[in-house]
Amino acid sequence: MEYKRREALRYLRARQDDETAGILADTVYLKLRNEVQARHVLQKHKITVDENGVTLASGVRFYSRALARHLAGCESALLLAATLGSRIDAAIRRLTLGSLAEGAAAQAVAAALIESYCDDVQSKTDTDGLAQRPRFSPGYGDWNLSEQKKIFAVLDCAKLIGLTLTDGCMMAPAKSVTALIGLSRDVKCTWNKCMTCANINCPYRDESI
Amino acid sequence: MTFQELLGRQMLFFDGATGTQLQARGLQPGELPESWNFTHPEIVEAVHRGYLEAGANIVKTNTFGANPIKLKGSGLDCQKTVAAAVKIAKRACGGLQNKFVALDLGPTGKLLAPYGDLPFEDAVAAYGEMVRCGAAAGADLILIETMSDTYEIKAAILAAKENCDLPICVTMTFDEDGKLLTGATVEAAALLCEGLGVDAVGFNCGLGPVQIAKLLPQMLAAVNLPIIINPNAGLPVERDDKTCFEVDPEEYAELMYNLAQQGVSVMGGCCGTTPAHIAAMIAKCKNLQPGGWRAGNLTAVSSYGKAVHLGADPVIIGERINPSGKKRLKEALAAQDMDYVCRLGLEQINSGAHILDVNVGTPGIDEPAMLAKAIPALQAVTDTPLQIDTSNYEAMEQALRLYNGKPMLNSVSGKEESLRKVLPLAKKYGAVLVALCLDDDGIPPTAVGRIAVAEKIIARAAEFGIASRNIVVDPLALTISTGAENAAVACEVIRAMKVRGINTVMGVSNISFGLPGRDAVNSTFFTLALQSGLSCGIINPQSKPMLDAFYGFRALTGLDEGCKEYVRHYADAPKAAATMVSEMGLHDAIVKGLAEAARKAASASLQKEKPLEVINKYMIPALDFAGHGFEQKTLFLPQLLMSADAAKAAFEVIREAVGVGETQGETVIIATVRGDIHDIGKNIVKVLLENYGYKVLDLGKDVPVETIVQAAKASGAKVVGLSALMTTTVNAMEETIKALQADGDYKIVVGGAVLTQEYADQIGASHYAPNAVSAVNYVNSVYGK
Repeated sequence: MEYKRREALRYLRARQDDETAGILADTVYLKLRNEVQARHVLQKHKITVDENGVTLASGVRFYSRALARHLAGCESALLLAATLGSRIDAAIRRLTLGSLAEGAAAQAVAAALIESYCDDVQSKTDTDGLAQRPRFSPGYGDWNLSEQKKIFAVLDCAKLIGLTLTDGCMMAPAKSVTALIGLSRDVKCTWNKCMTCANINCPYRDESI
Repeated sequence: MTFQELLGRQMLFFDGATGTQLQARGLQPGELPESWNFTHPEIVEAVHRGYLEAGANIVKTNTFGANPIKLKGSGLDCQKTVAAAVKIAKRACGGLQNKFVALDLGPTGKLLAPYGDLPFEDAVAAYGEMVRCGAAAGADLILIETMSDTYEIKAAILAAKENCDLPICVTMTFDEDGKLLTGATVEAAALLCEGLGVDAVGFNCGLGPVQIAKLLPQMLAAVNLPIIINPNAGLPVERDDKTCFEVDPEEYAELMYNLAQQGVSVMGGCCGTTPAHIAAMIAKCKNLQPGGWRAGNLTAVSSYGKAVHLGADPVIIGERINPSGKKRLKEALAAQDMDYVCRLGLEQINSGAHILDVNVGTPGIDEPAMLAKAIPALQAVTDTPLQIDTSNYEAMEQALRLYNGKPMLNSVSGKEESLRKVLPLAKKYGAVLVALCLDDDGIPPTAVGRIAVAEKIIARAAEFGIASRNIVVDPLALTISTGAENAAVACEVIRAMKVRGINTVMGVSNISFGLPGRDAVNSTFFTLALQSGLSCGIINPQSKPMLDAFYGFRALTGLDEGCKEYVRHYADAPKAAATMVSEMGLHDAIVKGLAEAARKAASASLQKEKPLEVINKYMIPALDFAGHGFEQKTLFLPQLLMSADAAKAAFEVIREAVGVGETQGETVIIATVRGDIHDIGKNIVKVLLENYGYKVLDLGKDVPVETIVQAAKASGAKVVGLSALMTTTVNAMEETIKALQADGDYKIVVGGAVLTQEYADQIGASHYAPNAVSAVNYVNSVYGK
């Protein structure tokens, strides 16, 4: 998976031309990359989308208007779960102990890496010529975090890739992503997820688009 | 005959996949296989029979997901499910010879703390429930399978040992690189299992026979136990949106036959295998001699991730986590500052320690509670194995129980009470045991005397079933300032033990107690001891003379092939790059974010000025400057963080010099609220506040409302800082604020990317901090600074 310094800097809330931050992120990446144990589960599902949510062919229904808007017009979707593994969590804790700067950079680098990994997995997936919409995950918009349980049940993440949910519906290991990816015939330009998010004051907002 | 009687005497065979067999007979996606123990028991029995007729000796009960934690909310009851499943399996085996029912324990589906939120003892209790039921219902053995986390494996094994007397088999799921999901190597994982006293260990799921063949040699070399292999029918392949396994019965039988040649004792199959696969395999392999037990003499300890061998190549055990004579560490322990303990550990590891000694015994400290905190804290940040160092038996047991791996235990002695109390613990928890050469008559003055004590301990340990390869003898380095022969005696004992094939360990620096210039004696003695055959030296890995002795020894004896490590260590030694940096003032060092320079400048300043002056004249203004620049957007987060790091480094220097008390003021509580794990912002606030002299009680992340309220009350803090990042967790923030306001008069400052001024006002916060600096400024204003 590619280490995208630009993304790491965005998560670090540093300016792109900040040399010190760039060196910091790069140094930390070198410390982290051997701790990565990336794994994923990916399934394709036929879906129906209505105003209030998205339903898989098996009957599992996700309740979220934002999700529905995001997948409008799609007849199928990819359901993805990916993790960098728990060694990365330990490494981030370790770095944070020694240096706040490295700890924060480690969080940022790991966030960039998991997104990169998801991009890789998706790009290697054959979708019969359909375009892939940006990933949409529980926790975004009005998609309640408790709906993670549904995704976990469908994908059997715990058994297949050791990705679990805590009682509070947070993922463990922490550097992980679950997402629904709409597959559509039209290749619209909504390739950047920040574009469809209402929180324009978010400090992590990707301004590059 | 029983399973145990047959194990290692003839090749034994497990059944194959159950899940796919049930699916073929109508199990729907999302339907729990365990529910069929009630709705379709006759089909479950038929699946068992199919494998038994194919020749399998052992059927796994349909309880893979029947752990009470996994079943929560499913409507199924664990005990009833286990009882029903065992009954069905026993019925299938009824009357047949050499057929056994294995109670199948699968993963809980949750990660154990600290990586997840499942407490270790909860996992033990859950597995315990399954084991009690299964044993009562008549299972013949326990199978702990498809495990990918050493901590969960330990919980399951302990549950099995504490709730029944049945034989225990463990099979684990590795990835192609030979690691468990939580990172353990084959060796580390297998050592844990063998230490805990299971009957057989091996592989299942995840990989096919070809991939397991590559990993099998590692397990054969690591442990002496009989090996089990239950591979998948190859690696999974996606066809038409379905997962398939494509190795057919004939090919499977061929591959398993080859695998068996390596020395396996039990064979079966996992995902994708059918009665046809099992039958074909058995037809080919049934007359093979099982590998049984090996006679390896490996002494090794492990963490959750890796193993360290003790033997001809000496290892360094870092000694610095020991409060004796260490004021700063004592203060950290009194404040339960595990971060400090972890940093002490990490520094030693960076300096080359292979194992860390962990000793938290000091007057006024609740040692069992403290060790039970320190071990998990260290395990959360490093995979370096730990040596549990205590003479408090309660602390010893707790630490052994919580340790994630095969621990080293310091220590047992020849004293009756010690032997009586420690040997059972070492046996139960599978420790490599340090044996001190002293007994109720004291420390023998001669080598002969000490060797006799060592032999006594080894013999008594053997009675408990502790093999001599799991004993490491400490000859005791008494100071030469009170006895000229002390060094020679120690070395003689080491030599004798080496001849005997027993490993040795020693606290090297004891040799110079009472002398000035201890380094010279310590490092020379270290060399003498290494030359005599010392396996482990308990030393300060940050002492240059000691490391010199170590690296020099290994290079000279050829242990360091081509002197590669020697060259790497000494060629990289930083030269006088510090000259430019050492001239820098403390204020500048902090503003520029240079931690090393800040450290030096702080030391220099302390020579001339009082600590409080140093803080107020240089550090606070520097932080104010950095904070102001951050608000004005002339410097950004990375620079702010580096300044905070530099200030923290300077602060540590001051604390080492004067102790914590003088430098700490009012208490502030901070926490990331329940349901949220984002904590960078909170951590920045913490460091900044500490640098400004506050005492910060950091409750961590995902903190329940009640915990925050109680901590606020107990600590007498006036200010509470709450952090949350996600839209879905602001409710928890509102609840926390309400609970706090109901309980007392607190100033509550809130922060997090999702918050706004309006929302903060809405939920009743005293102040909204859009960034860390704003939070610190607010706290300062509360206290009129």
